[in-house]
Formats: sequence, C-alpha cells, structure tokens
Amino acid sequence: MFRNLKFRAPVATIIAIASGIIMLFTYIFPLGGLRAFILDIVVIGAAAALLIGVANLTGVHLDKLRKGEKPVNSAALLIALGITFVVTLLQGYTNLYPASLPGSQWILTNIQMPVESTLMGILAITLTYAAARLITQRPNIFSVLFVLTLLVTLIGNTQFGLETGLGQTVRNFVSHGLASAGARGILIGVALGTIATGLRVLMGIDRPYGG
Amino acid sequence: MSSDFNQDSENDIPDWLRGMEDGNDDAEFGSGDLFPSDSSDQEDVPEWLAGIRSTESNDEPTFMDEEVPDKDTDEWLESIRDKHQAETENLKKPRTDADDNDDYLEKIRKLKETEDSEGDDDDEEDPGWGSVGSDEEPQDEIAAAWASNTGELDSTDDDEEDLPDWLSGLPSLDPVKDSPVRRQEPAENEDENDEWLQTIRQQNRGADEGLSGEKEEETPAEEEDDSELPHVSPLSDPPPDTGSLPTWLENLQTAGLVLPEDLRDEDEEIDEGFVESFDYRDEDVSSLLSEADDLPDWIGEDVEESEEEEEEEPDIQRLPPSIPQETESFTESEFEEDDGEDVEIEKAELPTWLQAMRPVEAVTSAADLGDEDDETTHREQEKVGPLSGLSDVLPAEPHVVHFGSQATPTPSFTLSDVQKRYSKLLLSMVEGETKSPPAEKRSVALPQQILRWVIAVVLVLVVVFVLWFRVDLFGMPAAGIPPENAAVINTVNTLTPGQRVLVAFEYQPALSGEMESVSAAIINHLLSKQVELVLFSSQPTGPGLAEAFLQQEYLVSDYLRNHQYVNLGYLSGGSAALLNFANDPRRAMPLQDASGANRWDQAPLSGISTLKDFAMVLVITDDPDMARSWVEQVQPILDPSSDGGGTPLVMAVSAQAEPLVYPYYLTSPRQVTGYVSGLSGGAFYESQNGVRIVANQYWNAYNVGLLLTVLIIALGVVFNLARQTFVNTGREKA
Repeated sequence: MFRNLKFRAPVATIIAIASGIIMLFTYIFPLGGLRAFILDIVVIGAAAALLIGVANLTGVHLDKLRKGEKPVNSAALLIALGITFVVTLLQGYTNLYPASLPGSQWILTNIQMPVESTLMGILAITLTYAAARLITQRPNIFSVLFVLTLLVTLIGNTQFGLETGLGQTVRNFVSHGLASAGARGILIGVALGTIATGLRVLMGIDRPYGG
Repeated sequence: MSSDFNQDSENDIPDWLRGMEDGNDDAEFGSGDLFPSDSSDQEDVPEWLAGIRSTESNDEPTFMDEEVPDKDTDEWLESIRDKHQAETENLKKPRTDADDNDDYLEKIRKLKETEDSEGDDDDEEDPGWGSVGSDEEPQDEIAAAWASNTGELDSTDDDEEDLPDWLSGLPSLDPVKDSPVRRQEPAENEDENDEWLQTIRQQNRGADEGLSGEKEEETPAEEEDDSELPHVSPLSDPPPDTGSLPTWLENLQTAGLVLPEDLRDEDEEIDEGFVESFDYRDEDVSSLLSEADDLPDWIGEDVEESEEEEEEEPDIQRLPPSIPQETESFTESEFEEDDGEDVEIEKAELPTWLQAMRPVEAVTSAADLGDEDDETTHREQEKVGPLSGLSDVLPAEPHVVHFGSQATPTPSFTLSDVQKRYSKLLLSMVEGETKSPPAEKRSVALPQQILRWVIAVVLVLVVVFVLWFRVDLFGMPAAGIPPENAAVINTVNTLTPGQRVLVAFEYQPALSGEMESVSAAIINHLLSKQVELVLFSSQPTGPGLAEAFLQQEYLVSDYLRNHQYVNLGYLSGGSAALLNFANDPRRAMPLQDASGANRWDQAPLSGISTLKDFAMVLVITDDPDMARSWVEQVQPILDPSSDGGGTPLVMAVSAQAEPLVYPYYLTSPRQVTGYVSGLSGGAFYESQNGVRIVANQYWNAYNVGLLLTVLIIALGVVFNLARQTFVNTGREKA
C-alpha cells in the first residue's frame, strides 16, 4: 500500500539522524531520561530482530526442505529448533511442563556445550596439521617466520617455558609487545572509524539502514 | 496558409481576371493601384485595370461597391436591393441580399471593434504568457515561419511554367525589392480607399497592435509608415510582401485572409471569403449569428457545420480567451470551393507567434517526433484537471512539477552480428563474475588422510590419558605471576562479605572449557569472600552458561547452598543495551518475584540504582570486541580512579583476547583494573590462592598437549622442508 509513497528513505534517514544527534547531546546536556527512552527502544528492537532472525532461519530451511537441498540437515535443524523453542517456552509453566523433565538448561549443558567444544577440539587438530604443512604449501620466509613464532609462543606458555624464562620473554615481547602494539593500532583505527562512520550517518551520507 | 498560386490554372481564372489577362498581359501589375484617386492617376493605372473597372461598372453590385459611399453606386445598389427584397425573403445567396450583408457585416465590424478594444485591454492585462511573443526568440520563429510561408509563395517561381502567361510575367515576390515603393503608393490615394478596406485595416491594426506592440516600438520608422500606409501585419518581420499583388490584396493576405487557390472572379466570392474569415470557428460570432432571422441561410449552414466539426474534432486548436479572435482567422487560408459544395474545413494552424509561446515540452515532443507538422504532436490530450480530454491545451500539470523519476528512455539499437556476439561475450563474463563457483571436492591423498588421523589420534590419546590418570608431569606455576593477575587478586581481596559483585557471562559455549578454567579461580575467590553474586549476560546463551558454571561440583559450597544468587538473565541490544543497563539497571531489566514484587527492592539488589553501586564488576568473555564494549560503554559509569575509588572493572578473558585487553590495563588511570587470561592465567591465580580446581586439573594435559603439538608441527616442517629440498635437488639433477 505504501510502496509507491517512497517515504521509507527520508523517514528512516530523519529518524537515524535525529536519534544520533539526540544521543550525542545526551553526553553533553543532562538528557538522561531521553537517552534511556531511546535505548529502551533499541533493546526492544534488538529482541524483535532476534525473533525475526529465528523466523527467517526457519523459513530458509523449510524452503531447503521443500526443494530437497540437503533435507536431512535442514530437518535436523528444524526439529532441534522446534524442540528447544517449545521446551524453553513451556518450562516456565510448571503445570504444563514438569520440572523433572530436562529443560533448556539440560539441552545447553549436555548437547550444545559438548558439541561446540568438540568443534573447537577438531579445530585444534586441523590447525596443527595445517601448520605442519604450511611450509609445503607456501615455502617462503613469512611462512617460516610464522611457524617459528608459533612454536616459540606455544613453548613459552608451557610449564617448561615459564620455568626457563622463555615464557616470560615471549609474553613480554610477543603478547604484550608486538600483539598489543598491533591491538592498539586496531583500537585507534576503530575509534577513528567509529567517529567517521558516526559523522557520515549523522550527515546522512551513509545509510546502512537501507534508506 | 499559403495561397496556392502554383496550382492555378488558366481554366480556373475568373472572368474578371481573364479580362485583365486579355487586356494587358504585359502590364506591370505591381506598379499600379486598383483604386486610383483621380484622373491624374489614371495614367498610371494599367489598361487592364481600367478594363476591370469598365467591366465592373456593368456588373451587378458587388460587395465592394456596397461599401463605397458613392451616390451613383448607392442608387443602383438600392435598386438592386429593392428588387431582391421584393422578389423573395428567403433568398439563399447572400450576395443578392445587400441589406443582410450590410447587417451582418456591420455586426461583424462592431464585434471586431469591441474585440479590438478588449484585445487591447487584454494585452494590457496580459498575464505574461502573451508577452512571450514579444521576445526575440519567438520573433525569430515568427520571422522564420513567415519566411517559410513566403517561401511557398516564392516557390511559384519554380512553377512558372504552370502558371498562365500573364501571371508568369509578374515580378518576383521578393519583399526587399518592391515593398517600400509599393506601400507608399496606396498611401497617397488613401482618401479614395473604400470604407470596407478601412475596416480591414482597422481590424488588422487592432489585432496587431496588441500582439506586436513592442516590436513597433522598437521600429519607429515603421510606426510612421503605419499611420500612412495600409497596415501590414506585424506578425512577420521583415514585412510581408506579396510582390506584384495590389496593396489591398496584400493586406488581405498579410492579415491571414489569404486568397483561395484561384483568384475569384465574382464579388460574392470575395464577400463570402471576407465573412468567412471572421466567422470561421469564431465562437463569439457564431453565437452572435445564432439568431435565424438575422442570419442568412448560407452563413447559418456554415456556422452549423463549423460547430459540427468542432464537436467531431476535439483537437481543433483553440486560442486562449485573451487572444483576439481575429488573430486566429488570420491564419486561415482555406475557403470553400466555388461550386457550392461544402468541403471539409481544414484544421486551424497555430500562428507562429502562438507557436513560439507553446510550452517547452510541447516543442520538445514535437522535435522528438521529428516533424512539427505531424498531427500527433498537436493531438496530445490533457489527462488531468477539468480540461481532461481536450487537446492542445496548456498542461495543467507541467512536466517540471511531476514527482518521481522519469522513465528511462530505452534506446533502440540495431546490432550487427559482431556486436551481438561481443555483447553476449561481455554478458557471459559479467555473469561469470557474479556466480560463485561450486565447491569442488578436493580429493585428499591417502598419505595425507592417514597423517590427519594419526595427528588427531595421538593428540586425543595423550591428552585423555593425562586427564584420565591425573598424571602430574609438571608442577603448578608458582613464581612469576603476571601483574594483571595480581591486580585481580588484590581487588577481590578488598571485597567484604555481603558486597554485591556483578558477574557478566559473555562467552560462547564452544569456549566454555577455557573460560571456566580461567574464571573458576576468581569465582571461587569471590565466594570465599562471601560476596553476593548478580549474574548478567548480553549473550543469548549467557544465562544458561552461568547456571551451568555455578552448578559445577567444585564451586558448590556451603555459601551457595545457603545464599541464592540472582541471575538477571539476557539483555538484548548489544553495546547500546550495555549503556542502558549501566545507567539504570532497574529500568533496563525489570524483575519481579513470584508474588509480583520488585526484585530490585529485595536483597541482594536493594539499594542498587546504577552499576556504580556494585563493589566489583567481573566480565568473563572470549570476544575482544565484547571486552571493548564493556570498557567503552560501562567503565566510564563505574568511575574508577587511580586512588582506588569507584567500582573496579575486572576481566577474565581467553588467551586470544588478551592482546586487545592489555592496552586498557596499561592506561592511567586503568580502564581495566586487572584481568586473567588463558588457562595459564587461571593456573597462576589458583596457585596464588592455594586452590587446585579447574586450571590445575587441565594444567598437565594442557602442557602435554602443547608440547605434543609443537613436536608435530616441528616434525612436519622439517619433513616438508627436506622433501621440498629433495624434490628441488632431483629436478636440478634431472
């Protein structure tokens, strides 16, 4: 109905710019109540976006199931999603869902955490194998330097490294020296990028909301 | 508007012109005057013109004769009138009813005079669009239009062979050569001009003064001549000249009363054309002549036919009401045929000065079509407003006020085969860039697969063996505790029993093993201090992870059994939600117990209005960005100071997030009071506190696994380097 009116872009831009300016002023002027009001809207909107994301994920896998694109995986996801959603929804009502039955906490502790931890274990093995074959794939000085740094850092985090002083040296030079220097550069870049992005959004140049 | 002299033929020449031709073929038509003033001028009159007069004197009265205030003429004209009135009252042809002619002609004159005066008023009150015609550019267009019209007249030179001999002998229609002399001659004989000619001149002046007054002001010389000479339509510049035509005929043509194809031989035809020129599509005149008693039958028929044509052809161009009506009639050149049959009246053409005032889009559309004379350009119908359905009206909604983007014109190309082939090639290249190539199944060689499985089995078996059998190969780290860990320990040691500590669980289940080993010592330390724990998370899985963490057997103590901690749950919104929660946690996360009472008013949350009211804030996270969000959004509200005031912000982070958190620890005052990173940090913390829980259990397996990993990587690098060297050596040898 409102497709032809084309007010989406100007209205969204106006809301974004006004909200940004108001939030900026709340740091200068005593407008804490107004800032809290806007942040409440943000929180509610984020929660709604989460539900929309779940609905979108469900729709995508229903579509895959209908098209026959890896239907087993989509079916497993949809079944797990449905069970978890129903269990989490009903466990608050003791008359509908007995407390003796496993709830969402059981699902998290006994299914989700072991599965994801196992994936991290597989990742550790894969990275080990990749590091061992790194020289074969890319035989250059940077690969050798990377592998040497990796080996020294790993050894420095062991008890052997801590007792021999290698760990402290590596920690001071690599973690707190090179890595922190790089991290500070990243933080400064992020800060400048945030300022620039904020100004562009306030001026309406960037419209990441699709206006 | 062109008079088709070139179509003239000898057969169509009227009798009075035949007399001219017979009498004097070689006479200089252009140098004479039809109405010499006195006998002295008779010498200048060509003989053929004299023949005309003698012939006309014997004929029945004509329209011109009716208007001449000559006594002799009035007498014989009166006799004819009486004769015709006596014969019949329903005389069909108005040429025999002189009284009627006088009546309606008189009405027309009055009407024109009235319109002239109105036209002058309208010109004074011209809203502006009419003034466009006075611009230079429209003047140029008018001149060009006139030039085109006169060009058609000039084109008769090319068709001289088709013309009769007497007409072919006429001088050229070049306005430069003949116009000045020819215009002054009738001025000398102006007193002898007939009244009807004066009427026409007045009409021409009335029409032209309002339209080209500015132009006349710019040319005072012409204005002087205008007072003396028969008025030449100022619509054209240079002044139109019909060449060898007599002045009165020139005025007619200039004013738009263009002669028909053949010069008419009878006076009634001229009369008829004169009336028609004023009556043609003239609504006011039609309404004036609508009374049947006052209107001759033949005019009545014309009026009815004109109305029918207007109804049948809604695209007939109409002038705005502010334009004098006779200006439209000036553009007409079509008369009815002599045979009495009513031919279809052709549609009016916009005068050039009015064409110059057309909207820009009308000209543009006409130019786009490539033919201004195309009827489609004049048949654009109005689609909105009260004029909807009418054609050729000023648009109610000009294009400039139309909203929205105009439709992109689609160019039409004629592509050759080569161009088509190239376009297809380009299209395939572009489509190839957008398509993601399907993931190809890489076949891994059997030795590599075996190597993968060997690495995995060795690592798993060794780590599991150490964990399962609690092999103590390495002792706990005792010396060399990092200062950031020591800062956390000191901060927790400052807490007193009953103080409230906010613990944020901001990590994913995948890294729960590492994060539990890092934070277990801190939580255990906090519980030993008997503080009140308030759990919070901005991750959806955070509250569940917190519950799972606190339910671990190594943390279950008498304190947790006797004191219920508070889990605030999940707060959506990311960093913005963190800011809101830091400013007003009661508003951000309202809590109610089973009875509906506000949990924030109950212990241990009573008295808390901001995060600054907590004794310490502990953030357990594996994400550097999440750690940064807490530092940026929450830490300023905690207001820690270098002297230990405010609420300290402590972190338990994974080893991968340490480099990004460390800069916040180095600031002064510290944005992060202290942090514990990685399993080694947890091990340091446990050993410092003298407890052996999670980190201590994993410490041996962790060390064994790291050393084994280093060994595998080192062996792999050496093997591959040797293999690469061997291959290169073999190639060199080969």
